[in-house]
Parts: sequence; C-alpha cells; structure tokens
Amino acid sequence: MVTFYLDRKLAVRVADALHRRGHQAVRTPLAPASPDYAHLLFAALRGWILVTHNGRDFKLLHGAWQTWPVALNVGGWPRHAGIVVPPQHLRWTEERTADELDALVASGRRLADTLYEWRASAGWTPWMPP
Amino acid sequence: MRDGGAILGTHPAAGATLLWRRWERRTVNRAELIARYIEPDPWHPGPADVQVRGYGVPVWALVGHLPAVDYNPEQLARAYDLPLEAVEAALAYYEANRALIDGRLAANAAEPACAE
Repeated sequence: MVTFYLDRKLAVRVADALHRRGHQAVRTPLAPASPDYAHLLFAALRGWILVTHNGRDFKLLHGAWQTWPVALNVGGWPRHAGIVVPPQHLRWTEERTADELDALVASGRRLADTLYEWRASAGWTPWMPP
Repeated sequence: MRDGGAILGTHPAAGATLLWRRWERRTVNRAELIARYIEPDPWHPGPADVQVRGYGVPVWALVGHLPAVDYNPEQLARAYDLPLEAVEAALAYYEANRALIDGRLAANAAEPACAE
C-alpha cells in the first residue's frame, strides 16, 4: 500500500476520495508557510508519493533532486517516492483525480524518483529535466 | 467550451453565468475581502502566487479547481476546507488579476490546454 502526500494545492477532498479507494492519503501537516522543498523532503523521508498541482516549481525541485547528488558525487542520496502533478485544466473532480492516481499506482509503473504529469494524448507521462 | 485553460477566462459563457452573478452579489466589498484574506507567498514573491492568509492555499490553485466544482464557491470552499469568505476573496483577486493567474496556471500544465 502506498501513501499519498497532498500539499496545499490539492483539494482536501482528494484525500477522502483516495481513502475510499483503499489508499493512505495525508494532507500536509506542515505549516502553511512551509516552502515546496520542505514538502518534498517531508514526503521523501517517509516514502510517500507527493501530489501537487504545482508543476512549475516541483519540476525544478525534481530536477535538482536528480542532478545534484550525481554532479556532487554524493553517495547514499535517497530516492523520493514519486511526484505526481494532476492537471487542473481538464476539470477533474476530486473523484476523478483519485481514480487516476489509483490507476497510476495500479499500473505498476516506476514511481520512485519520477515526476508524472498528465498528457491528454498519453495519460500519465514521466517528465524528464531538459 | 468544456475544457482548457481558457475556461477560466470565459466562465460565464461556460454555463456558469448564474452562479457567477450570484457570487458577485454576495461580494460586497472586494477590496476589503482581498486585504483581509489574501497575502503574498514569502517563497514565491509576486502577484501571481498570492495565497489565502493562514491557509497557504494559492489563489491560482483555487481558480484552477473552480471548473471541477461547477464554478460554485460554496463547493470550492468545502473542497479545500476554507471559509467561504476566503474563497470569495480569492475569486475577487482573480477578477482583478485574471491574466496573471491564468498565466500562472498555464505554467503548471504539461501541455497547452486542450479538450480531453
């Protein structure tokens, strides 16, 4: 069983919808003023999949998470458990968002150290730093 | 138009006119609401990333979710567990800064808005 970690960009009710599908889901307990990097660290240290609508900033963080330890030759750098960016422009309800997150996990695709975003033509698609 | 980032700029034409007008009537003093509930995000300075004071929910995130709740501010407040007035403040801010918020939403998208 995976645990989803929802930052403050997600509707609280997405957590409820995930619970109904048998998943653990935690809306962030961090203070409202917490920065994005604190959310990623909090989720990564617990092995939780971070869910956010903030694709712009989490792509940046994901890119740093991937590239800095390699460039700096830092051993033992932990993986994060995955970052998933549900779209907002497609009018997904909380139930639809939970359905698609459930489907992504059920697909068995690699989530660790991967950022997924939704493409209309291909569904969940891993994003790679350019 | 059902989908796409443009719905946020064309919500009245998207069938939400009545809901939107009802909300407009409720919003007596938008400037006061904005001052009370909307604040800058210290980690993302700038008018496109303002957030609801005390809750840390960005205005853009609320606006982005508005179509999913059929443009209903009450449902939006429940979905995010926010006071209705805070949501009304966010929508008032959006009305005054539409292009900025639309642009911020577009920056999150994997691809240009299109119908699913």
